[in-house]
Amino acid sequence: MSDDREKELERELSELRDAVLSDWVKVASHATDTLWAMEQTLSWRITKPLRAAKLLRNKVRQVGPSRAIRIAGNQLATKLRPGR
Amino acid sequence: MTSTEALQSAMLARLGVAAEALGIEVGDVAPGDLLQILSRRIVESRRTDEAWLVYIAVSGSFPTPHQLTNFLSLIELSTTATAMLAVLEGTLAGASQRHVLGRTLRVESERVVVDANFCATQEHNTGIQRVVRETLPKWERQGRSIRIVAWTADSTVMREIDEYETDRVLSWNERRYPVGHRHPMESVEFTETIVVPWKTDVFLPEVPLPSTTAALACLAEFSGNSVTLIGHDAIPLVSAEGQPNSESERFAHFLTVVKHAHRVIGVSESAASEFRGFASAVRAQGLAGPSVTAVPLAGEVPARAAGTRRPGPRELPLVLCVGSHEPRKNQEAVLFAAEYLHHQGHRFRIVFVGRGSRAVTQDFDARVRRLRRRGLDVRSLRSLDDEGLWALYQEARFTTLVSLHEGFGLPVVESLALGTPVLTSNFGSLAEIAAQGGCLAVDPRSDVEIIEGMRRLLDDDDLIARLRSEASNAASRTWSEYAQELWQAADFELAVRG
Repeated sequence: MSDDREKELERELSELRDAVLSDWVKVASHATDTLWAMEQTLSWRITKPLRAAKLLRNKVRQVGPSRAIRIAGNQLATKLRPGR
Repeated sequence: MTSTEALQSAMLARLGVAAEALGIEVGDVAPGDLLQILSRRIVESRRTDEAWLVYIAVSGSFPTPHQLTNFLSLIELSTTATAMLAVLEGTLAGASQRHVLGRTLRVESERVVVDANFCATQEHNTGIQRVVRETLPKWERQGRSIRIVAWTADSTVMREIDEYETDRVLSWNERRYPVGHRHPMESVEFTETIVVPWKTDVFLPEVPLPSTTAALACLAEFSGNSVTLIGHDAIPLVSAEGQPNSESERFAHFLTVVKHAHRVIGVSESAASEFRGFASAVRAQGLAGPSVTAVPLAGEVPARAAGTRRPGPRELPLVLCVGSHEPRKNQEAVLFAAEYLHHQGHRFRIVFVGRGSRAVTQDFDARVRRLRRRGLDVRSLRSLDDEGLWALYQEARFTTLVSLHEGFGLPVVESLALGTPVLTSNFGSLAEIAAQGGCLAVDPRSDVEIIEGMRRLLDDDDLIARLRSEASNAASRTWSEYAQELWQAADFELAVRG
């Protein structure tokens, strides 16, 4: 194979790598943008309390009301507490 | 430039930094070619530290142990021809988080990387924060080579701290900026600079946030950096009774970092022995565990703390009880003893100082109000500034801290540093402090001993005089001494390298 042909193939390979990388970047950023966009929708935000209530109801079924409320309280406290 | 091109350009810059750290010379190459060079490198070297670094450069985030082991498996299965695809596949999950791909990267190999996230971002200042905010400024002044970092809001990477945060960590006693400044939240316009420790020491003086423990555990296990941490105590596990479940769970996850750490430096012999116990426990997993030493904390109080008057002869003697309000601190037993002694005809004032959750303080404060109505001069202060606290220490006839479990016992050494005797516990870190003089040690599980101890300290002027003399003669360690000993005990690789 001539040097010119080898260089041409290397250039093509390099372009292919860039194309793969570019697609990968698009996929990664699209995934986060899509998730973020969904979380910003009105329906997602106004149904947040409903989803929380549903989670609590499921937890009550699993472990009983007093334990479920304690778990929920602890989770909330962990989120709010600054640390030790 | 499109957003994809901008992200690709940011990645190219990160890959260039990683290549330089790995000693790979690259000229002006396209992003794909540079990624291929780095991918081939880690496939050929099979080194976990290099894989860890490349993962961060590609994804803009620190991996968790699960993410990195998956990544390593893909690398293991790939050849140099398929290396780049393996790297892209293995980092996609890490990169699929908001804003991570636009980050810039800085490798830190010259200085000890100190994770002071909590102190940098929060205004809270009790035990652990005081240790950090006294020690790091001393290290700076002693010319130690450190770089203080915090974590991004999404807890995915260590980042540089801004000047306001630096002020909060290094100039706590002489703030230059207004209190309460917030680091800008991540946004499209705001680009974080990742700080990646590389072939250096990472020092953890705080208990990290739960959201960062997985990334820290991965760093400790795989990155090749040497991790040293301060062991404050193991209270959330060893005294889980009386602790919120979430606190114990959080601490258990912190131990996943400790098990891969190089060294733990306990704040007392007692705290060190708890971590030694954990270090020997992880041998069941085939791990060496960290080496554990102890450097007791300092007992220095600021110069401005001195100089408050002692009460005059006609005033009732003051008993002071300092500490956050939680069951292990045993404030209930002290209040019971005070009530008993009041019934026996002893006349004194007693003040409790310390915050606590409403669940714990509600009943206690109600009991305090009830006892006040019955004539006991008792107060419970949930909020008090440093000046107010120093004044109470000096006004007090004696201080009580009959805790059931402490990592150290800062209120005891601070009281002694101001010449005020202390009634304290006869085991653990409190007994270590008591052995130096100025204290009367009792069994905190015995109401009888607490009552008898308080009675002696209220009635016996000779005993008080002797303990005051012992407290004044005891050489209290300064924070500068602590900082120096801590640095020596840490024995950082960088320090060894010179």
